[in-house]
Amino acid sequence: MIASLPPGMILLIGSLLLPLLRGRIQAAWLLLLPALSLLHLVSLPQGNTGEWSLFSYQLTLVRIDSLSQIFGFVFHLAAFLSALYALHVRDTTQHVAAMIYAGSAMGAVFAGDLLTLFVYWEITAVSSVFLIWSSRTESAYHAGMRYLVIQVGSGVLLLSGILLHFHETGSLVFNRLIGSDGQLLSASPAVFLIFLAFGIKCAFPLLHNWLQDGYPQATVTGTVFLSAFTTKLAVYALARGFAGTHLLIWIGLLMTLFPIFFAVIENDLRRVLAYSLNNQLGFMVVGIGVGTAMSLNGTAAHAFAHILYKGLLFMSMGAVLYRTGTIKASELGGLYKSMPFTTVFCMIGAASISAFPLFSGFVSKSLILSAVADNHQLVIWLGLLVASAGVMEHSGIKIPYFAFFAHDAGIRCKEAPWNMLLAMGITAALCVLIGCLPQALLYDWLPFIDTGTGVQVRAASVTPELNFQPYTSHHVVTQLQLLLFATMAFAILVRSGIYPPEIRSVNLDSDWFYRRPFLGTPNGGPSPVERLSTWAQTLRQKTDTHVLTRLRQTEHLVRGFCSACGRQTNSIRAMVVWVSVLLTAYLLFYYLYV
Amino acid sequence: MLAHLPVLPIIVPLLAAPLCVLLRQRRLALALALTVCWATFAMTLMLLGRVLAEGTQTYVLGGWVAPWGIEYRIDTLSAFVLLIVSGIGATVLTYAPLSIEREIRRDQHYLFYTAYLLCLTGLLGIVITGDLFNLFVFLEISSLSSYALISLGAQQTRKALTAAFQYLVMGTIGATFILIGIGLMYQMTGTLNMADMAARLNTSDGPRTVLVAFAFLTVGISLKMALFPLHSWLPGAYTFAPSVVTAFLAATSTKVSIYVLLRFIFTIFKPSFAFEVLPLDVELMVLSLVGIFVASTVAIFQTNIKRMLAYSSIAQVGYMVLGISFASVTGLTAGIVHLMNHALIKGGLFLAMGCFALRLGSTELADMRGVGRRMPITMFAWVLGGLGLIGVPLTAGFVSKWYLITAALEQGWWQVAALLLISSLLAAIYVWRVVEVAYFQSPAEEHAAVQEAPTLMLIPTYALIGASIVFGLWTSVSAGVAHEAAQRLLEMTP
Amino acid sequence: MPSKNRQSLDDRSNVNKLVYGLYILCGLLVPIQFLFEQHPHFAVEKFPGFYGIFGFVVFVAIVLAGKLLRRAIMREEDYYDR
Repeated sequence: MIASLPPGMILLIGSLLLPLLRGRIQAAWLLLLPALSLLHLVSLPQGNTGEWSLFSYQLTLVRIDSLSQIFGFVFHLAAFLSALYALHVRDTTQHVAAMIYAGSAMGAVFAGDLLTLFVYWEITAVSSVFLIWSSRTESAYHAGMRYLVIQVGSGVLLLSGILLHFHETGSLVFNRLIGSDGQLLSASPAVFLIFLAFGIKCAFPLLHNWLQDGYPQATVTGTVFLSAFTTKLAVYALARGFAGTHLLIWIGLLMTLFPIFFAVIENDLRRVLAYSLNNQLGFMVVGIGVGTAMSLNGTAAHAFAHILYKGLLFMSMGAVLYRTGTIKASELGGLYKSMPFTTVFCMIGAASISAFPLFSGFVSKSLILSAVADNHQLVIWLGLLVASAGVMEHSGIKIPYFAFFAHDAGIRCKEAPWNMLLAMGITAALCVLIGCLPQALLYDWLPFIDTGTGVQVRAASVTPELNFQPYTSHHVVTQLQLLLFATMAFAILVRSGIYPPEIRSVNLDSDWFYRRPFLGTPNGGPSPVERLSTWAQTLRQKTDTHVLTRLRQTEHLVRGFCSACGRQTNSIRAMVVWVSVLLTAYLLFYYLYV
Repeated sequence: MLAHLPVLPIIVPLLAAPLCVLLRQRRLALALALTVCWATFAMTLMLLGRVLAEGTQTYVLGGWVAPWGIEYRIDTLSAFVLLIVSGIGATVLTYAPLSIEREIRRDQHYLFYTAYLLCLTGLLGIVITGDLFNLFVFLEISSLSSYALISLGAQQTRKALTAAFQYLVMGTIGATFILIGIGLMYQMTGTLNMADMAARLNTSDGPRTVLVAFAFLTVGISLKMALFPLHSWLPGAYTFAPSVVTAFLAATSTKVSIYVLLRFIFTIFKPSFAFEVLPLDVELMVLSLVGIFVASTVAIFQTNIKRMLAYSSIAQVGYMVLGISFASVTGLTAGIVHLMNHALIKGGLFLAMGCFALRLGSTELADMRGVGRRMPITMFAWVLGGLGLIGVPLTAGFVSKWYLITAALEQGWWQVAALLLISSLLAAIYVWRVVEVAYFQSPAEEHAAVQEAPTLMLIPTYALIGASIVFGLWTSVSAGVAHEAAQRLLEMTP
Repeated sequence: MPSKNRQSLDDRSNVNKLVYGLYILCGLLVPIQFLFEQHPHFAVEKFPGFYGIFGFVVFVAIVLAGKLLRRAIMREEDYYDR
C-alpha cells in the first residue's frame, strides 16, 4: 500500500494530521514527514507507476527516472532542512501549508502526464500563498493576492495549453514538447501556452515580479520554503519539455543580467536575495537552452546546489529578521558581534553562490559555462561572466557586508535559535561538501547522457559518463582572479565613497504596471481605477436616464396590457415582456429559416 | 413485483403524500416521507442497473397498449436523471427535520412533507413518462407543489410569498406554453405517445404549425429551466424559500427541465430538424454564453449568498445548455454530466447555507464574517463546493468543464473554449468573496457563541459535497453513463 | 578610534590590513596564471589578467549603472501604501 503511494503523497496526507498535534509532537511530526517521504522515495525503483484513468484517458501519476529523481531528492532535502529551520514556529497554518506545498512540488516533479502536473502545479500555487499571508500584515495580504493571481494565472495558461495540446496530438504524456529544431516560433500555440505557463513560474523577464513582490513579504520561515520549490519546479518542467529551445538561451541571459542592477540598489535584503534568485535561475535557463548533455546536467546540478545555498542565504537573512525585526540594509550592520554563527553560515552561502572554489556553486556553474564555451558562443559566455561578477556584488558581498559588517548600527541581539543554527549548519556543511567532493556527491547523479542520436534522460542501468574536472589550475586561478578583483573594486568604491549608500526606498519594477492603476495621487486624490469606475458609473447613469425616458414613452403603449399590475409585480411584467420578445424572435427566426 | 418496478417510483411517493396529510403528526409524517424517499432512491438505483444491463424499459399503465394507453419508458438518460433526482430528494429530506424546525411553523410540517413528496413525484414522473400529456400533468404537479414549498418561507420573511407568486405566474406561463406546444403537436399527429409522435411527425415539409409548436415549446421549457433571459423568477424563489426547499429545487427542478428539453429536441423533433433546419443550436449557444457571463457577473455583486448562488445556478444552466447546443456526443456528455455534477455541488452548497441559516439566522455575506473559525466544518464543505463551481481539478466541476472545452475544441470553436475559461474566473471571484469574508475577517461579536452545525445536518451536506469530489476523481460511472446516454440520444437520428 | 579588541573591525587599522592583504593577493594572482598550463576556449582569455580586469571593470560598471538606475526608479518607501 505504502509502496504504491506517489512521492510527495506522504507529505500531503501527513500534513492533514498536523492540526491535531500540538507543541513538540507537532514539531517532531513535521521533521518526520520529509524524512519518511525520503526513505519512501529511495525505496522506489525507476519506471512508471500509478496508472489512473480519468475520462477514459490514461494518466501516469508517477514517473521515476534519473531527472525526476535528482529534483525529487533535493526537494526532500530542502523540505527537511526548511522544516528544521521552522521548528520553533507555533503556527499550524504555516506548517500545513509548507508541507502541502513541498509535497505537491514533489508530486509535480514525478508526474508522468501533463494533467497530473497541472493539478500539482495549482496546489503549489494555492498552498504557498499561505506562507505569505501568514505574515498577517495588510501589505502581505495584498502581495499574497497578487502572487496568487499570477500563479493561478500560470495554471490557467498551462491548462489551456494542455487542452489544446491534447486536442492536437491526442496525448497527455509529459515529454519533450518543443520540436527537434528547437524553434519556439514554429511550435504550435498549445506548446507556446505551456511555455508561457512555465515561464511565469520560472520568473522570465517581465513575468518575474511576483517573485520580488511576494517572497520578501512571506514569514521568516516561509521564504525559505518558497525559495526552494516553485521556481525549481519550473526549471524542471522546462528541462523536461523544452531542452534545446534556442530562445531560452537569450531569455536566460537576460534573466541573469537585469536583476543584478536592481539588486545593487535594493534596500530590503530579502528582496536582494529574490533578485539574486532570479539571476541564478537565468544560469539554469541558459543551460536548458543550450541543450547539450553537459549543459542540461549543469542545469540540474546548479538547481541542486542552488536550492541549498539560496536556502542557506534566506535562512541567515531570516534569522537576522527574526532577531532584529528588520531586514533593511539601511538599518543593519555590525551584527557579526551578536550573531557570529549566522555570520559564518551566511558567508558560506555567499561564497557558494559566488562560485568560490571549494564551494558548491563553483562546481555546478562551471558545467554551464563550459557547455556554453564548448559551443563557442562568445557573447553568451561573456554575458554569463558579467552576471557572475554581478552575483559576487549583490549576494557575495552586499548581503553579508551590510547585514553583518559595514558600520555598526548598534543592534545587540541574541544569536539565532538552536534549530535555525542547526538547519543553517547542515546546509552550510552540504555546500562545502559538494564543493569539495563534486564527483561523488553531485556528478554521479546527473541525469542526462549523450546517446549519439541526441540527449536523453539516463536510465537506471546506464552509468554516467560525465568526467568533468572543475578543479584545474587554470580554472581555479581565473575564477579567483574574477572574484577577488571584483572584491577589490568593491573595497575601492566603498572607501572612495562612490558606492551608493543604502537608502530607505522602494524601487519600481514591472509590478508598477499592475499596481500603479490602483494608487491614488499623493494628496489623497482618486486612483486611475477609481476615476475609471466613477466615469463608468456616470456614463451608466446617463444611459439609464436616457433609456428610462425612452422606456417611459413606450410604457404608455404597454400600460394598456398591464393595467392591473401593482408595484410588486414589476418584475413579472418585465419577464412577460421578455417571454413575448423571445417567442416572437423564435417564430421570426424559424419562419425565415425554413 | 419487479415487473412493476418502472411505475413504483411514481406510485409510492404519490400515495404517501396524502397519507402524510392524514397522519398530521409531524414525526410520523417525517418517518413516512423518509422511508418513501429512500425506498424510491433504491428503486431508481435498481432501475438504472436494469437499464444498463437490459436496455430501455417500458411499462404499460393499466394494460392499455401504447400509443392509446399511457406508456412509461426509461432509457439510459431517464434512468440517470431519475437516480439524481431521487438521490438528492432522499439526502435533502434526511437533512430537513432540524432545518425546518427553525424555518417552518411546526403545525405546517406535515404539509411540508406532503408538498415535498408531491414535488418529488412530479419531477420523477416527468422523467419517467413516455406520454406528452402525462408529462404536462406531472409538470403541473411538481410546479404547484413547489409554489407551495417556496411560500412556506413566509415564516422567515414575507418576501417569500411575493417570490412564490412571481414563480407561480411565470411557471404557469411556461407550463401553458408547453401545453400549447403539445396541443399543436397532437393536432398535427393525432398521438400523444413520444415514440409514436416521433415516427409520425413530418418535419421536412409539413405545415408551419410544427414551427409554432416548436417555438412555444422552446420558450416554455427555457422559462422552466431559467435560461437567460427568462431567469428572473429564480433568484427570488431560491433566496426566500426555506433552505431545504432551495437545496432540493436548485438541485433537481431546473435539471428536470433540461431533461425535457433534451427529450423534445433529440427524441421527438430530432436534432436534424432543430439544429440543421432550424438555428436552435446558435440560439441556445448565444443565450447560454450571454447567460453565463451576465449571471456570473451579477452574482459577484450580491450581498446575500443564497441569492448569489441562485445567480450562479443560472450561469450553470448556461453551461449545460451550451453543452447541448454543440449537438455532439462530447457536448451532450458535458451537458448531461454537468447536470449531475451541478446537482451535487449546488445541492451541497445550499445545504451548507442551511447550516449557516440555522446557526447565524442569516445568509447575508456581512453576517458570515469569521464564520470559518466558528463553523469550520460547514465552511470547509462550502469551500469544497465553491471549488467545484469554479471547476478546480479534483472536483466534479472540472470534469464538466473539461468535457465542455473538449467539445468546443472539437468543433474548432476555440473562442468558446477561451470564454469558458474566462467565465471560471468570474466564478472564482464570487466564491473568493465569501472565502475572504469567512476566513480573513474577524467574527462579529453577536456571533461569538455560534457553534458548529448539528451532525445530522452535516452528514447529508458532506454526502453531496463528498460525492461531487468522488465523481471528480472517479469519472467512469458519471461520465460513462452520461456518455452512453448521449450516444443513445444521437443514435436516434436517422 | 583605538579599540580594546584587537580583532574588532571597528578598528580602522584592522580593516586596512584586510584590504591591503586583498590588494596583494590580487597582485599575485595575475603572474601566478602563467605558471600553469592554460586551456582557453576563446582568444580573449589569452590576454594577461583578462579575468581580473574583466571582474574589476564589470563590477564598477554594475555599481555605476545601479546609481543611474536609482534616479529612474527610486521612490519613497511608502510609494505603494499611499
